[in-house]
Amino acid sequence: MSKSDTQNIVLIGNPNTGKSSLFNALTGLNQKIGNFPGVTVDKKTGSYTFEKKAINVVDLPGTYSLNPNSQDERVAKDYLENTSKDDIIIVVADATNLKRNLLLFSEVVELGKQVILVLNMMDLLQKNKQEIDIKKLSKKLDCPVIPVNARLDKGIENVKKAISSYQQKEKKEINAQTSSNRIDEAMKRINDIDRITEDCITKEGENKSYLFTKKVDNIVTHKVYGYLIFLALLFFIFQAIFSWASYPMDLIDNGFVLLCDFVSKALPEGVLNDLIVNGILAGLGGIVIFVPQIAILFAFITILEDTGYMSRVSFLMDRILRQFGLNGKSIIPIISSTACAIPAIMGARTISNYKERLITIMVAPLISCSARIPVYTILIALIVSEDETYGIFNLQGLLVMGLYLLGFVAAILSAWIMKLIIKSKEKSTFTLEMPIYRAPRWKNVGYEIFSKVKIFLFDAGKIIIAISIILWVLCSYAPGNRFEEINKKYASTTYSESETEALIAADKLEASYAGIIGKTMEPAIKPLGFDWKIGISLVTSFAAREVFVGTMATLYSVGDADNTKSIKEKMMSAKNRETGEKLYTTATTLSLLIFYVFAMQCMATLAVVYRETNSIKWPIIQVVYMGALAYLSSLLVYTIFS
Amino acid sequence: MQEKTSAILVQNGGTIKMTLDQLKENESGNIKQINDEDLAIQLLSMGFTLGGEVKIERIAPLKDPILITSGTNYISIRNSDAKKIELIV
Repeated sequence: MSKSDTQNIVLIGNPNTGKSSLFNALTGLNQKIGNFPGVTVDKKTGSYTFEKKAINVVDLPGTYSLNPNSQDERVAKDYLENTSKDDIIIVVADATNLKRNLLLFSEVVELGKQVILVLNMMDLLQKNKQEIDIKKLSKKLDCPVIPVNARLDKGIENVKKAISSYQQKEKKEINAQTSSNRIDEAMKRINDIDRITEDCITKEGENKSYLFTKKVDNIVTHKVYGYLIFLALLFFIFQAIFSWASYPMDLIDNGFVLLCDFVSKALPEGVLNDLIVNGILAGLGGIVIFVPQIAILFAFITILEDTGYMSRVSFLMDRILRQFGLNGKSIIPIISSTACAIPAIMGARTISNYKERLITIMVAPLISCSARIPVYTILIALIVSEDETYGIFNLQGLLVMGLYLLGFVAAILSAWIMKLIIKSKEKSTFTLEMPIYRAPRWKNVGYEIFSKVKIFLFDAGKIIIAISIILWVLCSYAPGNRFEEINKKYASTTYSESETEALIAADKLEASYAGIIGKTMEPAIKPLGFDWKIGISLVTSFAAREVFVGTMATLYSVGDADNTKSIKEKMMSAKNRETGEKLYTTATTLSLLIFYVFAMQCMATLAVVYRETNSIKWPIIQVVYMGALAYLSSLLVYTIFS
Repeated sequence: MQEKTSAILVQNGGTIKMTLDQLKENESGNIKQINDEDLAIQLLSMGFTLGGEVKIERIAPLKDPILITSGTNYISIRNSDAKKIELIV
């Protein structure tokens, strides 16, 4: 054993072998997710202490071999080759599929690394009445072999002990496979493994979970039931995201109102108070409110992936999505986008073909996310009353559905166009393992939710807060002494105190830098039926789309942002300054709705696109093409309806 | 199916060449060779072997991709890749 106080260990294994369960069992919550340098492959690192020695653990992406076929495998290979000679490599293998898993093991051994073999899923092995002679296997492979059940935390102590008592071996002469042909080389290795396992697998048994899986698949991938089950599940997930999440979201909303109220009273009045309450806290509230939806969405996605169902959905959808330059695996980001484009774009990492992944990232923000809901709700209420129906359907509900559909269709069509434009020589494949069906690992689901929410809050949060502060500055300051003049103007009025305050706020906004921006924009957005106030909200929406409602509330001088009814009333009575006619006509409202469906109004998403594509080019293209789509569609709609 | 096979028979000048995409659901064969090195390496590492059995478990509702098995190894591949997998006749 080396003299240093820390030991590095690296986990590697085939996908679906319970590698992340072992990682979680070893490190607990003591883990970090980062990126491998230069590539967007998750690098999970963690640590634990055992017998006073600090152990650092790196979890490599799941890989079938060290023949780099995908970015994940390339990362695993590069990382392994650059580990120091004292590092211990733990190969995690599925005990019920020993032969295949040993192929990767043999490749790691050939690199001349210090290796421990961990056999996971010993419970399934028992259930299948299969048996492996562990001692014999350990002797034949000339390395420690530790049986575990990572799901139930069984055998984890033994892994830790094996690591701390590991005897470093002198690097032996390795009879590396020296065939010129990669296929022959792999076949030779497979035959060697066959000879070893023949002696060590003492009972073949019957793989019960595999037989069960095939029975379930008869229904789940059925040409009729398969799609019906998927649709029913989608419906259920939507229901959960949009109705269950509303309770915790209301709580958070009210919590922030109370917090803002408390802070604004606790701190002395002034600029700092205003900045914290209307700048930082308002911005923060805008993101925290989406945590329940994101948590629920990721709970579902993790469960669906963990059970093995997601692979089947990808299988069912591949042929359809391929038509549009996407991949069967794009279905996960597409579903996620209905809650928020940020986790969706991060989820596109599972797509190994660069072009397909890029297209998925580029079109995901066109799918209506939950931040658009408050905007849709308030605008639709302006043109359709709550009890209007079309046949048996509620007209408001139909319109919302229509907008969602519009976003989806736009995403698919844009993907198709990009497929024709973006050139790629990389081959597109859909070679995907169908893992056996298993109950979800609830702990794993918990970790996943925790880490995804953390990324969302911190990565997106930083940007949103920065934007909120900038917006606050733009709204709170004006060139020269314009604000003082407004104060003077209202010094002696007959209005009540609250009315005066509201009028001052509205006038100040018009005079502020934000107001100037809005006024400057007016000529450009006039053909769409928008005035300068709408212009300001288009700008403020860049922090987050739902800010629209808040901005409208300020602009139309309503004291309470939560009082939707009065915003609605004020907006309905808003007049066009030049013509004196009603501002929110059907044409303007529809045009604005269409604009919100298509426009790229989310800084946080752009930041994530930048991070994921590693280039400023793609976020810029995204802003331009979505903006052009929004502008032209709104222009068309406004022209038709006015 | 019959016609297709005979067409191939003529094309190859008397030798019958059969590829995986020509099998129906629940039919199986043994892999002779895989005419794409990357695909071959990938399939070998996922539990499929030259000479080993391969079975069409299910064909997707839109005829592509397909689910194939070998022992308890169970994966999906596209038809375009299945065409590159030659079977022993």
